Amino acid sequence: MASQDTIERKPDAPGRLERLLGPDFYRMLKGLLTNPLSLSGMALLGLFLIVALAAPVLAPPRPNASPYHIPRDGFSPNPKQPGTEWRVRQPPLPFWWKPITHKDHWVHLMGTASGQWDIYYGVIWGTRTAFKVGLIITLSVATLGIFLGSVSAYYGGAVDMVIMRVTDVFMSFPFLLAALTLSAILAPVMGKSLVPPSIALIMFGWMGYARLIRSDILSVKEREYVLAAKVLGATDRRILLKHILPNAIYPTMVVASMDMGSYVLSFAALSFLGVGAEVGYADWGQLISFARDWITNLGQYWFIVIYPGMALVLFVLAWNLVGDALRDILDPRLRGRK
Amino acid sequence: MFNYIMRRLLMIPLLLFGVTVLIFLMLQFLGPTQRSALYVRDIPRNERVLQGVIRKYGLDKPFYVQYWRWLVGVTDEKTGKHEGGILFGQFGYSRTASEPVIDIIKRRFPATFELALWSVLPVILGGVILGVVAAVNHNKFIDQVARVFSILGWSFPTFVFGLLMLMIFYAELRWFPPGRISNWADAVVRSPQFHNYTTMITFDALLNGRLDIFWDAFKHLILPITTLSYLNWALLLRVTRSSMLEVLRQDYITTARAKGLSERRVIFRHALPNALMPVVTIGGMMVVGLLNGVVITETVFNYPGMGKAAADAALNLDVVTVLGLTLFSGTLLIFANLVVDIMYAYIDPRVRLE
Amino acid sequence: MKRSLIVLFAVLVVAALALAACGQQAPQTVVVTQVVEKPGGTVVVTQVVEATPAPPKAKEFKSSHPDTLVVATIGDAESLDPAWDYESSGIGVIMNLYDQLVTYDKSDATKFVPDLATQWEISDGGKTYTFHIRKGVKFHNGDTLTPEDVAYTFQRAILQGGTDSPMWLLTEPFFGIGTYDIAELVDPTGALDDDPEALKKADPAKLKAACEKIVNAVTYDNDKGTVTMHLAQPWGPFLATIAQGWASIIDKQWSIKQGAWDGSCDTWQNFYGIDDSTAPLGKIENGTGPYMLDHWTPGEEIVLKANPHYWRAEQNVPAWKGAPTAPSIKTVVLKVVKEWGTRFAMMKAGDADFADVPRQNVAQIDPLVGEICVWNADKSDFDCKPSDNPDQPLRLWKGMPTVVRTDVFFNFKINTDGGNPYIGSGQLDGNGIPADFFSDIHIRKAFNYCFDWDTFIKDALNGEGVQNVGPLIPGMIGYDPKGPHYTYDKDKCVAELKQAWDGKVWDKGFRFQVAYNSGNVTRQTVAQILQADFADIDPKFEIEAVGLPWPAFLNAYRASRLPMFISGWIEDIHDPHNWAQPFTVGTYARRQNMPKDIHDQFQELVSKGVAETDPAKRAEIYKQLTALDYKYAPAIRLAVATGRHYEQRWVQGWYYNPIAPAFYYLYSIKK
Repeated sequence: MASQDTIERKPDAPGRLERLLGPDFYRMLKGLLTNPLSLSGMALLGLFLIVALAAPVLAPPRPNASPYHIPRDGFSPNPKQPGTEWRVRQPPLPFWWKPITHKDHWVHLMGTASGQWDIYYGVIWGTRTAFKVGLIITLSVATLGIFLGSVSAYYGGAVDMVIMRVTDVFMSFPFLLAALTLSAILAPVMGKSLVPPSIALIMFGWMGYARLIRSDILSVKEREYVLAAKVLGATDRRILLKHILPNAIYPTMVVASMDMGSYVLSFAALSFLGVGAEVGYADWGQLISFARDWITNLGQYWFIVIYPGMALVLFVLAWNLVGDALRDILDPRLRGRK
Repeated sequence: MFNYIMRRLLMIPLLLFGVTVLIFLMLQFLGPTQRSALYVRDIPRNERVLQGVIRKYGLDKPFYVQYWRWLVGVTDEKTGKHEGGILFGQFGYSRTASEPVIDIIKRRFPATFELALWSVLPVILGGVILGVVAAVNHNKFIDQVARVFSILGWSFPTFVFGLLMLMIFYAELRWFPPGRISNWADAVVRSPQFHNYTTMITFDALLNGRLDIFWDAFKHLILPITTLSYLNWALLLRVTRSSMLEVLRQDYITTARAKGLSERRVIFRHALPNALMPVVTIGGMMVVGLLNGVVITETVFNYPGMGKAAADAALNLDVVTVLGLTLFSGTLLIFANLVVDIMYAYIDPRVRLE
Repeated sequence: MKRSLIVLFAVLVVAALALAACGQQAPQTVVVTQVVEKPGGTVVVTQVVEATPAPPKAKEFKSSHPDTLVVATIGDAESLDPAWDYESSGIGVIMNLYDQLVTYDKSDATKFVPDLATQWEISDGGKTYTFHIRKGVKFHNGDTLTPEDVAYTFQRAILQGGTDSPMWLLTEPFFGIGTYDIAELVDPTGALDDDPEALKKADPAKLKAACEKIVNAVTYDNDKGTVTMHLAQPWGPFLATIAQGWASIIDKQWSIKQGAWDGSCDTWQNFYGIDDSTAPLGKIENGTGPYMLDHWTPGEEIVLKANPHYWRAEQNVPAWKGAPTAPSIKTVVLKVVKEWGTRFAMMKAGDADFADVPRQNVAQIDPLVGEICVWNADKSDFDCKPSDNPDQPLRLWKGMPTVVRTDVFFNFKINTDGGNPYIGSGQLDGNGIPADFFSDIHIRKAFNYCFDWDTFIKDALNGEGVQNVGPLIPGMIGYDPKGPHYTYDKDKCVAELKQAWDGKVWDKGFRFQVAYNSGNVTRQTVAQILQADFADIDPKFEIEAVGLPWPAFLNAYRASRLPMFISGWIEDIHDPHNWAQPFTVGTYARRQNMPKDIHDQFQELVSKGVAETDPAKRAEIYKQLTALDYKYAPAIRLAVATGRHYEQRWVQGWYYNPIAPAFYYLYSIKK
């Protein structure tokens, strides 16, 4: 039974750092930093973060153009191999290019996708999009879910009943299909951008959080310290915010960390079906969808799938590795023997 | 238990009402002209006819008027003829599929159901096995490999994985073709000598004693099943693993070990049955998800299921079909969730239905 | 409880092992039977070799399903009602199920040979056509064809009407230029078009008169075996008009039994303007053609079976010189496969004999081509030779002229009722455009000067096309490749922009959306080229390219809400009128809201052109039309591309007729 020693052993007395951060947070951090899977996940995320922040340096945008619009070298459907020179509408050279290669012209580092979109540029700026999409959707979904779930759980009765039935209604839709429909309806109205698919994913994504936080609160609600606070006459809101939520929030964090990746995937799926961001927006899902027709000739055109695909898979993988480790650490059932 | 089931059943109309209201609210983003497709096959070119449809069904009226007319239909004042009304079973005619919505469901649901049935085993079994392996080797190398392997699948965009499979196993190796059945087998299935008991080809083939047809139909299922399996294992692995880990540290397992039982016996006889309980819920939810069709898998493998039909409709803003199929899926989901809940309560005595 | 779970689990394990076992062995056996190239293979293979004494190279390529033809296509038929369907896939199927009075002389789009009519006379200065109907022809259900069936066919088709149907092609010759629907005989304003309810309430006398007009225009004599058609005016392309799917001859008795028009002029209004869900002949057929409908699963496949009693075989009448009399392929499967990757895989595996190959995908499939047949314009035929990889399994036909073109249309007066998301702010403030933006000739010219044809032809058309001059297409009477046309010229574009709207456009810039139907890569590229060309001049000239789902596109287009739209036309009959009419006064011009003075100038030339019988004079009229088109620049005329067709090399007998719809060729195919 090798499984017992790593998790169960606890330091005898809390250290300074632990006191500073609080026991739960300390334990979480320690767990994350000692597990090889979560470490590699976090390393990957760090890398992505650097790429996202350094995007203007790594791939300078064309002047007077939106940086999120991938520059394209003509319109031909046939992808070009990595290393091909830019011919038309070339963006400015990054400052590091000349010292390294001693060349004056910019090349397609990762080739071009069908339609001559520069893959390298799309992968770099797509990192920003991925973080944006993942963060915005997950935060919105979690906030909406937590709000409704905690209100439902705390007030109970008719409020609970109504909110939970509404949740049930939303859960009666197949997720991707519902998001697809709403996105398809919204796109002609709002114009194609990140907004319609994001709204669609948020609308049909919050129910899991509402249910999760509700059941967590229900189990926390009856604990002594909450009852004590009630007796002392604390207001509802104060009890909810100060005492209940902080204790119920960890499982939500686990789900949220994994959802970061999942929503980027769902967004990519919408892009693949044609209801994602507008054509040419730096978005990995869309870059891969440019490759949709060429995947059967992968031997020759591997780069149009491999680069954006790798970015997407690794990004999702990183969040999942962290989330999976978090889950292991925070799962109360795995916290040693009862 | 009985009361619980009754209460849940009574809730179904309420939920369906909610479902329809919600879709109808979504349709408010479209213009009255586009909504007229709910009632006429092609949006009329003649402006007067179009205005007539809009007036008749109140498409420019407030939301509740439209909803009500869609629900119960409209009676023509002069002729007394009743038209439309979803409550009267008027599901409408699908423009994207060129057939009544009811026919889409009748024809496509068996295909989806067949795929779902065959996927249950590999999806759930594979996930469970991986989970058990990971749990037994907790934090060892095998655990990490199993987890990374399954999370990698979870991280794959379905369309990339599916198309890669198609490339390798169909275009190169020619083993597993896309679609549902080969032409020669289709001809047999349509012949009068072949009895369609279930309209699910694999089962019908077995019932007719045609192993060749069975194998042909099954060949077409292998790639979608593989894709669905690999992409979904991570979830089951995760549930099985943590549930298994929890069980493995229970007192009775320690006792069993102390009694000197072999590790294999401890795991399979004592730990696994208890660890499988939460798997039932997740597995159940997964099966329910499969029943509603898997949009991208069906698209990539050209499999004529519900998901593909619904996605085509949504992408083309075919509101009639979207409404009809969503209603069907919604009903299915609600019933299936009920079954899963009851099953769970039945298996795990700790759960009490309230 | 625990035990039962364990049992369940055990069952699962066994089942999984069984599945795994199946999955391991069986594929190998399958591979053996399917690999057809293997020399000296199974008995089945040798039989095939003996049965087809083909040239040596064909021996290397043998289909695993020699009796069945599989076509992997993008589009499904909309309807099988010949008078209703107006799209290529459906008409293609219909032309295999039904026959017409005359048909094309193989690949010639303008020469016609007898089909169900054995001969015909034209009299009364081109206004009367008398057809002698073939005897002894049987419909698929066994009924015998009579002249009455032929007359009923035309009467029913026109009476069924509908402006979405191809019937305008028949109403114009029968009732006069500018009549698009039978309902216009009741109310000439067109208010009753497509409105069956209102038509039913119209004056019964007028209704009856309208019906009698067509009944009297198409008369029959069963004893003499003739059908006579009386046109409103001489109509040059009349034979061309009745050679296609919409003029397919149907069985009167059978049709009435199915619920089509009952043949009475008192009740015809009840059969007017049906829609597809209720069309009695929409999903079934009873033609005289070489194939019969086996089944149609909408969205999935249409399966046809060879007609064992095909009249050409029984009477030994080949359609054209060297044509077979009976179809050689026993079963035809038209499979709808929307995903290109899947279609490609089917071609690669040899499961599909033909496949739709969009132009943007040719680079992928070209490496599989072992034989290339290139169009030779001098002899109007193909020259075939092995490709650089002569062992590859596909044959490519390329370079042939086509009759399809995509254009960019400007909307002179954009419909803004209830708001319009496509024109931004709706004002010339740099953030939108006014509704009459394109009514300024300088704007229209600027857009013509700012379109980069060379890039379009090179990148979107694979270099296989030429810039089009005016509304007609190359090869037509009156088409002049040296005629007046615009070329990509940034300086002139800037000059026009500076003049437009008194310089306000140049100061403020503009922003609007150009729409295309999503999924159409060529149209998307057109929009993106315009977008890029204007962005090169100055970022304040902002064009957004939006792909809309087909129905949404159609709605916005029909309601004239799109400031600028990209659409394509496939000709119905190979005649300049079929281009001049829709592009300058009809379908497109109406959606463009062309001002009356421009419209009238075009209309005069269009009417003169179709009535003129002297080719030289006719050519002159269409040259004037092209000059007028250049002067007003109501659209950007893009380019006509040459065609491509891919097939397995074991397929023989395909031929190219530019006008014929998809799948028209099935009857002559051999494998």
